[in-house]
Amino acid sequence: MTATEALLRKTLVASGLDTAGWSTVQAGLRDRAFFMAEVERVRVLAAARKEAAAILASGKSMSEARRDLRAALRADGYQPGDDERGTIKDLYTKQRLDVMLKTNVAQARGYADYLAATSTGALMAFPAYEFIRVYQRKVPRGDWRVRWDSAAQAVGWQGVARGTSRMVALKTSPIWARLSRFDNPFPPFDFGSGMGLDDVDLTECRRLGLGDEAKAQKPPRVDFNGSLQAEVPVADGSPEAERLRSAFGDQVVFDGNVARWRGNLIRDVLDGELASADIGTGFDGQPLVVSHSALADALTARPDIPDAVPLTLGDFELLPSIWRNPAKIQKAKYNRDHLTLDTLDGGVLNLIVDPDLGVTQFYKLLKK
Amino acid sequence: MNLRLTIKPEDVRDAMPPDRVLLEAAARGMVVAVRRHLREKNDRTPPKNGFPKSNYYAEAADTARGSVADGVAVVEVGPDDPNGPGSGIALHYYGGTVRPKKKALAIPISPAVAGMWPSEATGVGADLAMIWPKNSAHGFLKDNERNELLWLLVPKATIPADPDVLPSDDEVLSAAERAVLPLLEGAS
Repeated sequence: MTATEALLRKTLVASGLDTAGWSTVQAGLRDRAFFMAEVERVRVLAAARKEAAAILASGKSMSEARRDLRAALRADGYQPGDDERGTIKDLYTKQRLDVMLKTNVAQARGYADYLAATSTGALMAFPAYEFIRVYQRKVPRGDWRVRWDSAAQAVGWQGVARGTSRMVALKTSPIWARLSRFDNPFPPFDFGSGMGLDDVDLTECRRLGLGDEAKAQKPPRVDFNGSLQAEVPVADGSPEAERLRSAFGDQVVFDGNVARWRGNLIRDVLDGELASADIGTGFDGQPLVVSHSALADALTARPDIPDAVPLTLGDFELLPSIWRNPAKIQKAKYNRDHLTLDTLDGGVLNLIVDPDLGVTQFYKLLKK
Repeated sequence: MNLRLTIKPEDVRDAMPPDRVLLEAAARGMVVAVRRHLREKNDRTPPKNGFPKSNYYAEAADTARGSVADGVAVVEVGPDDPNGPGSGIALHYYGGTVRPKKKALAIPISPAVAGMWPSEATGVGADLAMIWPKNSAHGFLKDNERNELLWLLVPKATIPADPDVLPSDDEVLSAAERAVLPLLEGAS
């Protein structure tokens, strides 16, 4: 998996939750969400993810990414509150944009690297990591050693080297997720952290007393969604389910007693993993089920619509938004509803829904 | 009559880890060597006068990745798309000439605009003026409000090749070999 793929496997989730609130969402759910604290605008999230992906995929500079993201914010009509202006809550500020872009880029790289570093051969050759400073900071956090010892204690020193001043642990030791602010076993371990990882080979592991445990290590399980985090059961109707509904509305669905993002379901339908998915309640109070065939059709070239431009992943994830809150609704042939919604990249999404057949067309035109 | 034992190549091969596993180890060995090299280079590279440290080579180290495909182990440094426009690190290794997409390249000369393109500055309302003295090989972008020269404008920039961007081929190969050896030793 490339870092770009690691980023794009996260679906857009809009919410008013702040950072602390998001930290209480189960890791298995949070892992598959692309979110920004207190950002409820899905189109803004789509633009942010697109910029982070461009940095990973094509080396787009941070400066260009910030510039283009500010343009997207203006196009969306975003204005910070009076008490937010100029602070980290102001999405226009360099500080806020840098934290968001750098964290998402680093997490995607960290994740992709973790999968490579824990492949069978890599794990046998380099069973452990050392936690080291990689980037100098003007004001480094001084408490990593304390955090390390505390995390080691909390996991019963499982896989952690003892009797050394070095911070070394086996790659599959639970200390890594425990150490991380984000519950991830890979960097970054905190916002703006300059700490990173260096692989430790088997010889060194033996010297540090980790040899036997190293031999017993197995690569971590990764599910078909590319997720390391296990899905935690959430019974529909439970207090936890109500808490999630309250924070995320119908972006969260309960699928066999497991909470999932509706956006992930749409992706699974697009990828052919699922035959269909309910994209939620629409402008008319009705649900809408989209099928794999309808979405697959949307990906193919449209000779009958010569001005159509290719749909992006973000466009498919806007399906619930265009269904729930279209910018314009017109009646089309056969009593179909023709809904449109502007995107922040200069396009107009068009969704045509037949009352009996469901989605008949989904395409994008450039704004004139 | 003598005692005689024979071993065929396939007997040895059967005792070894699969090729893919060996290549995964080799790829990781190469990644570790390249990453350490780039991080050390980052530590040795001082910041430009008055500018914050850019950590350019440490960031490049973070893009180093190994993979196994078509029976070979590969290590790459740079963005995910090898055909995309943006690998500055390759430019530093091979050297080359950078030409502007528009009129000139803009090089920050004030720490206030470190890591910033002029188009970002104008996007946040900066009032920039171009000053290009007649017959001069270079010009400037000035912030009218602060009356400060912020960027140097040049028609092109030549980056010399720097083979020290990467470890030598021998170093990388040795790292791959060292990574694979324990797997062979442990084979049963």
